[in-house]
Amino acid sequence: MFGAIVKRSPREKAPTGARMTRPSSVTQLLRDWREGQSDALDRLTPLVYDELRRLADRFMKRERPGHTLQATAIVHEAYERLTDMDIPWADRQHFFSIAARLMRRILVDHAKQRATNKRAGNVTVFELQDHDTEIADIGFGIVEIDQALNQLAAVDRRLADIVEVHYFAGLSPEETAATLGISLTTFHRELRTAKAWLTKTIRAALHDT
Amino acid sequence: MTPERWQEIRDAFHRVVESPPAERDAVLKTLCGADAELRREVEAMLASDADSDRHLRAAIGGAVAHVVEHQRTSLIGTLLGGYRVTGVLGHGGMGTVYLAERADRQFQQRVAIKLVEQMAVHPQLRTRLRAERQILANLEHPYIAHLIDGGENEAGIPYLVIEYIDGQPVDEYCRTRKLGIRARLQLFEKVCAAVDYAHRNLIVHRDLKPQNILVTADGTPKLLDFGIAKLLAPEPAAYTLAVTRLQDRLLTPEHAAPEQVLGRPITIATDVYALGVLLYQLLCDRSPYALHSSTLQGLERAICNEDPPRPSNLFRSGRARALLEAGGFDPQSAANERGTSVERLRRALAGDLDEIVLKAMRKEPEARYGTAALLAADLRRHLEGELVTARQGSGRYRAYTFVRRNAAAVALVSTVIVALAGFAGLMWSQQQQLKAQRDLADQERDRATQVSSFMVDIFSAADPFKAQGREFTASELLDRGAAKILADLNQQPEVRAQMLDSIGYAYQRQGNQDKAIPLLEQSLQIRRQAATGPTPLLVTSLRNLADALRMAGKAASAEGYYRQALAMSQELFGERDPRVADVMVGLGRLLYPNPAHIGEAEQLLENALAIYRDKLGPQDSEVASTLSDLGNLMLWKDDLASAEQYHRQALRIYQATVPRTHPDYAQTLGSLGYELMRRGSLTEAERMLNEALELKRQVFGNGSAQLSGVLQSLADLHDQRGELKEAMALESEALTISQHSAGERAVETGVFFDSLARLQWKAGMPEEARGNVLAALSIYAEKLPTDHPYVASSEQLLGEIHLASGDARAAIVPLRHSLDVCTRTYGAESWRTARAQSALGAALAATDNAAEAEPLLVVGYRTLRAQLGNDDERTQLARKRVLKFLTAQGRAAEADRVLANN
Repeated sequence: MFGAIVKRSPREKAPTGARMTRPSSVTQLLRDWREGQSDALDRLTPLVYDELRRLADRFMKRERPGHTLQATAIVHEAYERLTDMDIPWADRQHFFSIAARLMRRILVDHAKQRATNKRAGNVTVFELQDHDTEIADIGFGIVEIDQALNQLAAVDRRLADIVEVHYFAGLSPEETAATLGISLTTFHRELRTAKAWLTKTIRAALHDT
Repeated sequence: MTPERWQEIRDAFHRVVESPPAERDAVLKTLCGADAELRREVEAMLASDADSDRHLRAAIGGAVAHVVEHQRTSLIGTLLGGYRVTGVLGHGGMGTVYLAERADRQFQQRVAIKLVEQMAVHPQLRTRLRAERQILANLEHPYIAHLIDGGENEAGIPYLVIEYIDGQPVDEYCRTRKLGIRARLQLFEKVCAAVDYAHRNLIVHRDLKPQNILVTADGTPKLLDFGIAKLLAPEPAAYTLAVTRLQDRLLTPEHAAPEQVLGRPITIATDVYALGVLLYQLLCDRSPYALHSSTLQGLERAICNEDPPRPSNLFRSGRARALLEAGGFDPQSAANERGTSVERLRRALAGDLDEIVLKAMRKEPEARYGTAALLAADLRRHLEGELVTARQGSGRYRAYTFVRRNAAAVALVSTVIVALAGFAGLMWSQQQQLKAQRDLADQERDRATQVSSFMVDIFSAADPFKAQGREFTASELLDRGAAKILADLNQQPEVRAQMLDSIGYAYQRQGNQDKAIPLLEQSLQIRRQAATGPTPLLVTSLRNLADALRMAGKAASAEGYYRQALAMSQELFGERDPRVADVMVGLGRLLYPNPAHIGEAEQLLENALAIYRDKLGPQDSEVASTLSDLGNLMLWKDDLASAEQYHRQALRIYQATVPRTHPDYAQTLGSLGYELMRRGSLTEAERMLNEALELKRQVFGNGSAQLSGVLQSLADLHDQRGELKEAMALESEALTISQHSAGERAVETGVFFDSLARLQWKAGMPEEARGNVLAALSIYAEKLPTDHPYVASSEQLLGEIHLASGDARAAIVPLRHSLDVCTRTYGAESWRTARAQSALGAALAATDNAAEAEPLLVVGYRTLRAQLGNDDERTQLARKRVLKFLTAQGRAAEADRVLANN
């Protein structure tokens, strides 16, 4: 909405109140994709991406920031807005897989953009002090997670998917397991492995720099 | 890293973490062998394994927060009007609020700029908005954030430039400063002053809530966000209305008044409501409809239909509290934050503050305080310990709901006009119930009209409300009504049933059961024929009939109807409905005089009390009446202290909520007087009993059954003072009344015969006493089972009278029976049993059965001494009997040993 107001708006926004996407089109695209139309995914992705962005931009969450709950809420809201109620289970899983990946991309792109702006010094940075502090405390951020996840995906795609769907789309263990077609036991074992490896790798990377 | 290498690492990690901690080193060694790098990798992962995923989550969450915040911050550094945006202050339903400063740097002035993004302004509206802004800008009040400027940006989105307030939302301020109730109220009064000032300038805030009321470090409240305030002046343009509705729908619903939810006109009463909600939050740290706020619809429904819990109820223990805690409310921390205890907080809120908050939050705008200033004034009165108007006002409000619930009873004590209003109300509510069952709205309207016009017919005689220059008494009105409805068979069945029920109920309340029962039976019969299953009307009929039967002493049939009513009402309304509680109370009242069922009765009454308190609030008249019943029950348990406590609680509620002439007030006064009399506080007791008697004479007339209980208590009181003559006179009046009202053969009449006999026996009039106690026993023989405690008590008295008149042999049979019943119903340790033992012992001793007499005399005496104390006259009589027995046996020397404790 601010896009209309501010001339140097970073991206073009949807007109206020209008829905860019009819739910049925996303539902249809999900079905097409399931039925093997490979270009369906290409058409689907921007729709989901835009909706996630739009939601993230306009998101007014009452909860304390700094929790994945916000990501969860955004993805679920996008799901509700973009799909029909009676979407088949398989398509629902696909949606969340896509949304998880896109959510991750949005977060990483934004963080990188922010870092660039900071270096360029062209923004009067007004940040939420509390989660900046928290992140400083942790010592790593979304960009480091993203890099480590890329490394993990290169050797073990399934583990990376588990992390993505569970953390970026906020699906519960049961939902994540179902979405990826694994057992709950496997989910827990693999998630544990992935967490340990990611944490280890990020720490090592930070230590090296 | 190659996939193969990763596979090794992963497998090794799995194997190690799945082995017991003690064996991990060994497993690791075996798996890695000489592969030091593999071992390093796995060990590093093991070191990270202990971590939770908190860091991962926090990093992802932080990134989301950055994205979310980004758009809001993108205006920073730009110019808006003459101001440079420097930061974001917050985001609300209407838009974002920015921090900004004067761009010309001539003054150091910080301002808040509110961009009203949601307002899709039509160009036509701009002129009007500008005019409204001008009016808002004229609001100059120390507690209102000043509107400095306003305009539209290049995209046509309006913005308001407002004085920047460096403060905390008022609720947070109160919490962080741990303000006590008084300080909170003082702060709230200032808020009221600001709102009142705006109202006098014809501006309604419409969205008062803690986030819009900031408090600065020096404790000054500042009201923000008159941005959506609207002029009270009439609006010609329809489009303004549409915008208004849109705005109202964007309100934080928790603070919305019913009229806002319903889209009805907004007035200053809407702000008064919001102030009520705010006060509620400040006092309780919880919003009034928190339990309903999980869904918007649930919340809106609750706002329109449900009474919020009384503030003090939130801090009450018990089931209601458990429910609140389950809902996330923590009374303990609320109390801690004020540096007080839950109980002290509850007591501080109960009474005035409950009433003030609830009055401000009434559903009907016209029932609230007329202005914010009146609300503030009432709080001031509370702080200064004066009588608050909310409580006087609540008397009126309650009177209305009371009328609705007890239409016929009110007819007895109030004017005919009130009764009419009551019937209308009663019909209205029943109409609603009927509506839910069947879609026969037209018929129901007809019925309501028929009932109303029927009542008007009764009440408007040729010379309305006057008969031979005096007002009709309630009884005359009822008789006219009954005659008319019985004669008029052309009424629709349900109309007829309704009127039979109402008039029957009125007779029942009047104590005239003989007239009540046939009417109520007819009503029940009509409704049974009409209904195929349980209906609320059937429950009403069953309950009213059961009540009348109970009052008439027909316990067995009453119990049957009560149990039907109870099952049916639970089926219809659920376990925790006040209408279920109504039946529980009736059944409880029926059961408690029976020692075998007193436990069940107590349970029923306690349950009913909890339901009433929960659903109707702690000051409700039903709560008071149930407390009163529990008091009566305690009397049957001989627990005078508890009885007095219950009755005092009940009396306090009545004093605060009903006029003195309310029948239940007089009733409770009578009971409390009785307990005080029994506990020996004769002066206070006499004052209360006399007041109760006077009120009852006034309300019910001289011959009413309602008088007999008080008369008897007064008789007891005089008896205690040794004034037997006065006592007997009062008791005789009670007896006469009972004979006329309850009936010659009513159980109640039997009780008065018994009491009079007891006095006569004491006064040394055994002949008169014997006649009266035999009269009592003959009534009981008809109406009560032989092992009823009343029978035992009268037989005991009869035995005593025989003893007093020297006929010990005649005493033995009734005393044996009495002892038998007492032992079975009260147990061996009861003073009643002991009294019977002692008397029987005396009778046996006088008939030369010393062997059986002695243990009875001694045990009876010892139990009486233990139960009633040495000085009680009954103990003294038993003592005399022991001494007399020992003396007659020539064993006077043993007296000390026998009388002493074992």
